[in-house]
Amino acid sequence: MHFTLKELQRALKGLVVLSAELEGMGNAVFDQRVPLSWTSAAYPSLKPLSPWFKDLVQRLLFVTNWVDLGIPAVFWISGFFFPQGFLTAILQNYARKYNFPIDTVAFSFVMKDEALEEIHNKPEDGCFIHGLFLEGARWDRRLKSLIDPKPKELFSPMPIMHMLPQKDRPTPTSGIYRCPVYKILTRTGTLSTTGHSTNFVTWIEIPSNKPTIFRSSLVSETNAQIRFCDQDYWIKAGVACFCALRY
Amino acid sequence: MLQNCHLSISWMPILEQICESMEVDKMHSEFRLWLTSMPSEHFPTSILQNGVKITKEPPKGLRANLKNTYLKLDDEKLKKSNKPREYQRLLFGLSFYHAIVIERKKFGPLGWNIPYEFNDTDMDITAAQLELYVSSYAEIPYKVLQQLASVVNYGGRITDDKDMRTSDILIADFFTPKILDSDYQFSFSGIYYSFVPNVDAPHRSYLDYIESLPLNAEPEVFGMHDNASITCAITEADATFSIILTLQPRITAAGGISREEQIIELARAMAIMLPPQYDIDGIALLYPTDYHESMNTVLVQESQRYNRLLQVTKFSILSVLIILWLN
Repeated sequence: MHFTLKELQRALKGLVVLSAELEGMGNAVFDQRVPLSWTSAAYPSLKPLSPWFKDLVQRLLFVTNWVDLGIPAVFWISGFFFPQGFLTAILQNYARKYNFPIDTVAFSFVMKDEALEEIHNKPEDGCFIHGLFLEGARWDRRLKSLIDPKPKELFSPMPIMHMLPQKDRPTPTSGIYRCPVYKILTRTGTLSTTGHSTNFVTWIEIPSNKPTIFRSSLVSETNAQIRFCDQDYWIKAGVACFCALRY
Repeated sequence: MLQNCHLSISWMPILEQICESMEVDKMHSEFRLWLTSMPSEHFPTSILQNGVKITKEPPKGLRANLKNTYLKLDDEKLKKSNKPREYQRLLFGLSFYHAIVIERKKFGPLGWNIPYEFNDTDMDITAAQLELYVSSYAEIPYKVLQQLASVVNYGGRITDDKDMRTSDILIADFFTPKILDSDYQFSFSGIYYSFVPNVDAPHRSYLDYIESLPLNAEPEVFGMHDNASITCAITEADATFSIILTLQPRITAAGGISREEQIIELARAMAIMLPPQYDIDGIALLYPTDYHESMNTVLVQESQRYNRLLQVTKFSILSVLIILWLN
């Protein structure tokens, strides 16, 4: 075990004050729930204690590997406490590299055919990410399109995605579904002071061959009405992406 | 008769006292106390236990919902507009939309991100506007009707932009010129379509059509995959189990190892798996803040966040272990 002496001392000092909280912690561990003091210090998660803990160890490994082996070729998006910050960093890197104002740069999304083991190098620009799950649909590598899920398969993995920044990117006019990405399955979050949701991460565009519709919507950053192309087939089906599942 | 007890929470303890102090043999034999309330945690349990309870729930299921709407209508109301054909078709579309937005809730987050309390007043006001707009304009303003229903009336409850998108898409299927076609289908199965009512007795024919619909609607009518019924079943089971769990006694029968030993075992297993905290200064040296590599900043910030979490988890695991060992 890696406890330092200082932590031990603090624990001993805290014993008297914390007994009620510790009681709760004991109960939680026994009931396979994540203790309240942990959830409040952690990222949102729906997992019961033991998968929650496995997930934590995996996330820590992601950070440790990054520290030890350098910037990864493919980022595990689920490993981030704050994936929005990571996405902004990709845009910032690109904008600074080419001396573009950052507000003129936006993501395009390229679905990769390769499996995780087949990618060893970082892309020239942008980042590869993996670890997303789709609900209500699945990705077909051959058709390069979203298709209906297999019977009884509620969630399916997304392919590795290249988050590729582009300058003055025109909004697409057909062939995509605007898919919301959330951290966890509940799909609700609260806005934090940074203007980011605690749960909603970003919109991504997934290629799909269903009929296109157009819809005007407010863009929160600029408060401007923008005409988006979208696909009502997937909207009605409630299709969304998630960084983590329930177990 | 006291209505809406859930709105006067602070008074509930007094009500409880009053009820407890009632002496049956001293009261008039005809005395009855009627109370109405929404489901509320604050409603006194003792009153509930001593009373006769009647619950009223909105009808469950698409067909029951449509039926509920149409039972409140009659031929006169359906013929009210000066364009009865258009009005009747659009009103049926609206009723269908109403049923869909309510029934989508049973799919949990797959249906709506947030479970909104849509109710009959949303429907009533939209129906009144529909009648007004259909009657007052030579050409039916579909776009206006869509906005009024989706953004203003129903949308007034919607607080999530993703849900707003869903609502917009749903209404577009019903407030559309296509609904006037007799072969216009609401979903792929063809079971649900823009019904052509009998000219003289539209009310009866609508009720007959609704009666012919399946009792349990398949997910396809919502535009969802069949898998959604699994999601729906899981959501329902989760809700039931979480209620059952709250009714579970806290004490478990002692069999095999004790509760404390189990907790110690689990806490020890977790303690062993946790790595040491990150050396932030070391990481910052290896990955310094760099104008051209923002990922370094991301890494440092992430490791700081994980350190905080590690500290909390380690601290509490250790404390629990110490306490249980001391006992």
